[in-house]
Amino acid sequence: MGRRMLTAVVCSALLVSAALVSAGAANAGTAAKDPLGTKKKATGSVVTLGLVSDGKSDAIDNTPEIKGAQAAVKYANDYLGGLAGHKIALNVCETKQTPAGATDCATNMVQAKVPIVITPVSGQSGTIYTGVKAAGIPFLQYGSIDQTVLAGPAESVYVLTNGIGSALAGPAGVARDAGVKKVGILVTDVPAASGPVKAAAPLFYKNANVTPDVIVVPPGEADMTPQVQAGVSNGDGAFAMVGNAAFCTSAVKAIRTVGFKGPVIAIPQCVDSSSASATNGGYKGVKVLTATNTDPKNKEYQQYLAVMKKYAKGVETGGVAQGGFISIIALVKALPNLTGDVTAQTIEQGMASMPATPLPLGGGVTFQCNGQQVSIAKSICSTEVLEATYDAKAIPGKFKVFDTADLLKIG
Amino acid sequence: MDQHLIFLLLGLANGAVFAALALALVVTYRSSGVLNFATGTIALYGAYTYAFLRHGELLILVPGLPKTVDVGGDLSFWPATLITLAISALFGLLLYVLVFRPLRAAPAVARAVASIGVMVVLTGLMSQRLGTTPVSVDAILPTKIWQLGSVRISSDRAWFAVTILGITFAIAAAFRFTRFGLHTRAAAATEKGALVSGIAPDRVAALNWMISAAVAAISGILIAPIVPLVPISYTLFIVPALAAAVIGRFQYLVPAVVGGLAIGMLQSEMTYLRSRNDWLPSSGLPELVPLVLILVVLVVRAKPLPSRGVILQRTLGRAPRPQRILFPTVLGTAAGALTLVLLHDNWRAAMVTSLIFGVICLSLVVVTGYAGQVSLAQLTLAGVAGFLLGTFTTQWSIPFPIAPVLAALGAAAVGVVVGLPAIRVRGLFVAVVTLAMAYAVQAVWFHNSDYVPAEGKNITGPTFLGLDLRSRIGTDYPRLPFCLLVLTVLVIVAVGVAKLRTSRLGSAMLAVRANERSAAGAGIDVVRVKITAFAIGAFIAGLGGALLGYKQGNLTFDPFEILVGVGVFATAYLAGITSVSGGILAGVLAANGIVFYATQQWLDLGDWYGTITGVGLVFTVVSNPEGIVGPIHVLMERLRSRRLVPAEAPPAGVHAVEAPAPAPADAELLSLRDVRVAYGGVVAVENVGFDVAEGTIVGLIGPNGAGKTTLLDAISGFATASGTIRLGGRELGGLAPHRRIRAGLGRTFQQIELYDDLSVRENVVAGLAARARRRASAADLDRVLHLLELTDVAERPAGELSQGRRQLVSIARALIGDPRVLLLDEPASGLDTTESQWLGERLRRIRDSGVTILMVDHDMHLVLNLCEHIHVLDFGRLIASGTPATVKADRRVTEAYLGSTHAEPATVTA
Repeated sequence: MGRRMLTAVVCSALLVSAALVSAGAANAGTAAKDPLGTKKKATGSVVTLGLVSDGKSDAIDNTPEIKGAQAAVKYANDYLGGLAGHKIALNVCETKQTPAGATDCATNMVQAKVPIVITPVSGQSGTIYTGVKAAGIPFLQYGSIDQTVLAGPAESVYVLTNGIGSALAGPAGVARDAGVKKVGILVTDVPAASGPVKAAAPLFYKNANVTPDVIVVPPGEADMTPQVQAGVSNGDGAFAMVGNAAFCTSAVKAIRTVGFKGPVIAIPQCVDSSSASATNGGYKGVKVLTATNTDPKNKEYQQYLAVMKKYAKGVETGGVAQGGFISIIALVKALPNLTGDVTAQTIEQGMASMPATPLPLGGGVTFQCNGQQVSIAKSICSTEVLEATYDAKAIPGKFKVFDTADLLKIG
Repeated sequence: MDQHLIFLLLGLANGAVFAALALALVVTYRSSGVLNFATGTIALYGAYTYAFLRHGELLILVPGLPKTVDVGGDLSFWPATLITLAISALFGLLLYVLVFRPLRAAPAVARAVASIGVMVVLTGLMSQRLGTTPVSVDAILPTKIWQLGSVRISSDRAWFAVTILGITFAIAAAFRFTRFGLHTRAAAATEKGALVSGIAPDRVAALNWMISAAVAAISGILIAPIVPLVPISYTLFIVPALAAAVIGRFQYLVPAVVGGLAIGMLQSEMTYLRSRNDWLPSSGLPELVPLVLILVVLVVRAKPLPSRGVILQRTLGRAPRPQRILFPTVLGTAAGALTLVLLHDNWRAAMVTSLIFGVICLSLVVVTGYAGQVSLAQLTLAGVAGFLLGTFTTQWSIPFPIAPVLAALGAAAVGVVVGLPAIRVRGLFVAVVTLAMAYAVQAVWFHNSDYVPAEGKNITGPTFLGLDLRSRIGTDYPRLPFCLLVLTVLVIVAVGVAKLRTSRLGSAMLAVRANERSAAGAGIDVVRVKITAFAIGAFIAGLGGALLGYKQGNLTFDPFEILVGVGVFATAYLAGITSVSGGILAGVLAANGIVFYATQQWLDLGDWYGTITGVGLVFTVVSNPEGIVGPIHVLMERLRSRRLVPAEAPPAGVHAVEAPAPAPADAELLSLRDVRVAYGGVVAVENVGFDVAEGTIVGLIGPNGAGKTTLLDAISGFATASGTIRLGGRELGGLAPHRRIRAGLGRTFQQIELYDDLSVRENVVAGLAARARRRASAADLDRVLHLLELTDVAERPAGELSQGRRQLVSIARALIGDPRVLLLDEPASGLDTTESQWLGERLRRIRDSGVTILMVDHDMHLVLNLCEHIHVLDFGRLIASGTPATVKADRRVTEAYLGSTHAEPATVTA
């Protein structure tokens, strides 16, 4: 159970940033104007897209992801003219975070003959993808570090954000910029999490001329002080954390307990609404590599909050909800000129010819799913990530685009 | 400061977490005999309650009520803690009244399964009510940073360990020095005894449940500042905590807590060693610590065989003998095949999952149901085969029927290793050791990205003789040929397991399950039977794992997660772990199986599924502690027995005592010299020496506690003795019991240790293991049954016979081993005068057939009339020997009986 939770979250890598947004943030802007922009109803025939989510289990609750996607569908149908004019509907399936559930969902999608399956993030993406690719259905993810997915052909697999960049390569760049020579990478000791780190870190870190020190932590470890201290004793000048909020809370506590002062780099799902109090302000100065600008002052972010307020009232707006939202909107933005029926073939043609497009909520990051972005993982649509720094309340600020292209080269 | 020392200190916090939960585990077990898997969850509930109270809210888990109630402002530490303890104590009382009180008399395994149900319900409720966002708690203990050289240690870690130790000492002292503690210990030792002494065991038990829940809550509160709370936070601590509890033998608080601390500290040291030595395995080192510690503590220190006085609890239901195999097999196969053909897509996939889990659960039937070894590692063993199959099929390209069989053999090899500790430990300790084994295998192998790639291990095939049996081709999944392959394997395994039940090995397994001591007494090599059971079980589980691998085509550790394995055990137990039908039913009920899928499709339980399953589990255990299939078997047997011989006929006419036996031959068959047995400082048998002449019946008498049974134990190898014991000139000293039996001894026990599930004939057949000298024929069996007039009840279960007949069955079992000397321990106990006279007659017939008898009995009439020679023991010493007449006249003998408080003077003068 516990392992599955960690795997699910870790694997899903690139999630969105903190859930810590003050409620008032959405009220910015002019009261008179519709905060969602100008209405533009979808008028064409209905197209039903597949959405496979991990859903809810004892370990993890990803249902906001579904709510975020559903809100995005309503918003797109009301304000963005749907998917190239077609009214969008969703066929939702939950994996319950088991391989068997993922297989079932893939089978359901194939039987429903959906033109594309969207799985924003999942601990089971490999299984889902394997199931749908056999039927020739394209597969879109918000973020993934699943090797089967990343190895998939760029024509039919689209990973919007650069998970490798933010979880694996990015920290090396941040460390290099800070003048650090050796980085301790704290990761849960399950293959889905530690495998990519162990395999890929040496390659990318070499590009930054930084030595990786992979420190595996047994799943569910209560106190990580021994692991962190082992890293410090080993000469690590920075720490990168690859895990979910419970994992990173323990890691940050341990890092602060041993009095470590160097750079600490997190992935977005390291942080949730409990992080600030749980670590007693320990997140201050921690850098995060993300793909979503959640600065309360950011206009696009305010608009997202307004959409959620209108179409998914009461749903947690942080975390996975953003992934669900962005996946749908990105597809809509990538295919404005799709003509004829929405089928697997027309979607693939449209994606292959799309221009570089700003990623929804991306704070300047662009995506282009033409297979030309990252040579080692052609399905990734972007080389860029966003770097931000947490304050004591674990709210990210100082966003800037950070290009990982030079780190992702191999050979 | 030395780095090793520093890292040991850094592990204090983790150690204290394990220690805290181990404390709660031991307190619960000691007072209620429940191996409480829910301990961690109860601790977590306490931690949540505390955390919410600190924020001014009272947590309510009951569905339908508001999630929290405002208590009017944040509470400070003490009020929050005290209220939490009170709530937890009430929760403990509730658990006792609703779940564990009805299960008071149920097998220990049933109670452990019930606790698994409680864990599932509570986790489900917390997940449903609280979501998965971590809740954190401010530090309770001072968090000063201590600088040790270049290393900083937070003082709260050390204080945490000290606090746990302090609480442990306080609880230990309370149990030791208060009246309540005395009552608890009395009630734990014997419920009847406690009742006689005026203690209300019910009230004591209820109070103890309240105390143990409160102790769990204290542990939870103390852990909370270190571990962010999510509904599954503490579940993963159960293995190290159980290991620590085992170190304290589930009895002693201080060793358990110290063990917990040691596990945490050594794990930290392992982390350090790993960071400095690249040659060490990259994964799983810390997870090996609990296993190694319990192996060292348990296996090295355990006694090889239980001694008298150990109350052997009945732990499992009956293992009924399959009456007909062909009919159910054909019917079942046809039904299975038809279902597979009719079902499609997800339904068929669920059905195939059920069939595969049927195979895995049948492995539990062998290991646990037949051999009585509670193994929580079977799913892990399935995983071993699954991952091996990946390597065999994708890297080594081994073809179909060979690859899965090799993989299953690999699992069998690992299974033998898993089973090795069971040679030295027994009961629920075996469960804990196997769980620790599973935990270690999972960490070192399944979690290790050096062996299992991040995207999982691929498995190709199977294809056979041009037949494509793959489970998936494109979207065609699951394909019918594969499903039929799974069904075929299940049928073969099921028939094999049913055949095993009726085989000699199966009888030996049931004998071991019923009573290791008496099995060894029947000449069964207990060690070999146990290991064989583990090997067969692991092989079957491995076949299941291989099928699962073929079905999914790709494996990660998830389906073999140890807690899932515990769940599989619980399902198998509930379905009926002692029979083939139970094993198959367990597969039908397994998670992701056909019933699971149907409920998900038809009943919209949504997020409540887990909670409702847990409630169902608890309810089923409480109403049916021996599993669902059990009552059906009982019913079927009742119907069947109506058609058989009605009741047991009374012993045929009692004849007058026959003429005295022929004069004893001169040859001294059994010869004892300076035999001495000491337990610790207590000498039970002191330098006893006498000879038993061939063809005689010799009596051994003496007051209670004189050492009679101990002397028989010394002769048969159940007690370690010094001195010489010779049988027909061959020295027996140092031989294991089953070797002595095979050398020509036969042995019965004071508590007639029959295998109640087995028929009379099977009970006797179990004794055939003793027969080393020549093979027995059916005629030998019939002869022995005839000799003891058991022919008419040969097919009846031994459990149904009268006490007198049971005595004869145990003697028959000893006789079939073709012994030269038969050692009988109180064969007449529980018999009335007529029966005892009749028994004497049978014994004489046995003697006349050429078997020498050495018997212990309190029935002086029988002994004086039957024996040619009598030896009298008192306080471990031989005080008199001679013919019945001389012994009867010996004053020392009378004094020994009269001087003893437990004397039975009336019978002496008889």
